[in-house]
Amino acid sequence: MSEEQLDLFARGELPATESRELAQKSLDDPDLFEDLTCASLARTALAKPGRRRPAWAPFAGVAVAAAAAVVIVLLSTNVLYRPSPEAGARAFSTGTTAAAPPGPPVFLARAGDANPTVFRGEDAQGRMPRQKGAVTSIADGMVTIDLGALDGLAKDAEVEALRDGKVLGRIRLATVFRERARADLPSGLALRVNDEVRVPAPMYARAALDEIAALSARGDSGGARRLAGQAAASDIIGIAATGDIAATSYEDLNNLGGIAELRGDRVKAQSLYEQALRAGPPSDARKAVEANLARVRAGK
Amino acid sequence: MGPLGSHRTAGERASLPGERGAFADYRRLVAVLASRAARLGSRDPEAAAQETLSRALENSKSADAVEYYLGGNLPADAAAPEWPLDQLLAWLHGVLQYVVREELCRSSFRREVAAGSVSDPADASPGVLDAMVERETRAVVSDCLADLDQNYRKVLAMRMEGLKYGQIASRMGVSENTVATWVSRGIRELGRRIRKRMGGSHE
Repeated sequence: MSEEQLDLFARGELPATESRELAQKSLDDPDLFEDLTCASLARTALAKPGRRRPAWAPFAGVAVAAAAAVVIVLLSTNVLYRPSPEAGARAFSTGTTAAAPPGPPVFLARAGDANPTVFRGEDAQGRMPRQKGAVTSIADGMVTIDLGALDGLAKDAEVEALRDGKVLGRIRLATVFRERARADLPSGLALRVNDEVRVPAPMYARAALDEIAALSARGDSGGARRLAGQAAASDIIGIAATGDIAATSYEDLNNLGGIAELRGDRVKAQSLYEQALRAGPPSDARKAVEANLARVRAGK
Repeated sequence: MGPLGSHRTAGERASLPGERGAFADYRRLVAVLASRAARLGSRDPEAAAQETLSRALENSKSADAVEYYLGGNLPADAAAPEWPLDQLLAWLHGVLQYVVREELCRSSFRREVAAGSVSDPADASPGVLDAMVERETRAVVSDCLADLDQNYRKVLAMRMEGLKYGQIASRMGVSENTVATWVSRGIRELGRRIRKRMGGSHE
């Protein structure tokens, strides 16, 4: 590697083939890798417009943030709840049964929350939170499972390990990433790859509610409904009722109502929608909750 | 399909069974990323490195660039990826930084990263990660830039405005070669200062 090569790299003029040579050398030389990374950060920040977003433009970040804020507002209002002109002109209220649009429940994003929570690549197919997973590897005294933050797990959480439906013991997680987690192999626990692991019910319930709100925030109402349908199969409503998860916001209450509705429990759905309205949603969200409530009351 | 033709698509790369298959070509990359993760404060640097690589392989653009620049078995006729090396390295830095923060912040019941600990919530689109990297880098670069030699600062500022070497040379009354030298030295010096700020310096 020559100084000239590094100069060309710094100027962004090193051909791809030579960049590859340089990159390959840096893999055996952490110091060089660090130098290249830091020079890359400098170049990224100073990049010419057109090639990348002009990071050096004083207000670029503000513009991004402002645009994001606008998107968030739009997502949490107009996009998530798109009343028909007819429905929009109608005043919904808890006491009204006139407005009862048919169709599936409307799920809400959290106000001010575009919160996709975890970075994903553009090609990644996001999976839904799961309550059940499996041990994927056991090596050097460490267990890796295919459940992670997406499923509601956090560091120090304990998951149940099972084989053939029989509980083997519990594993305390040391490191949790998006879709997997690691733990020290507990002594005396004879785990095997493919043994089942289960997320504690309140954690899964919380994760499902978070993800429903996040999907809604991204405008993926179909995804939110699919996940709600999946959550409806578990006892998420019962878990919420115990207070093990803090589901007191109007968004969570509305979304729990939607889950109850998908579960076929109209009485519970009505109760949850009414609680959501009492929690004081802003006007647009209120219309969505009222529409949900009206539909349940009308039995549509 | 990416520019590597016969190579795996991003989806195939991401869905390889087990870590051994997915990361076999990238042991050295995982090692250097783990070394960086440790400096960033990760308590499980290798896992952070693997997670970063996993996320890089989920995105077709970064996956093509990772495979081309940092992979172990590149076909002789492989075409260059869309991303240049510097864009890939800056992106990997952003992902790794986020992964480590995600790990450090996940100590409470809720899975979200604690408010205020990350400058921006991560998002499903690389564009948002770009924005995060840009914001964080901009702050560091802005500080470091102020300490640079005046000539370096001037040429970098003019490059930022989109001026060509010839235009900068005539404005500053120096040769184009001098401008090119100042640009590369300025960037490399800036890189050294950024490294020092990030705690990766041997100084």
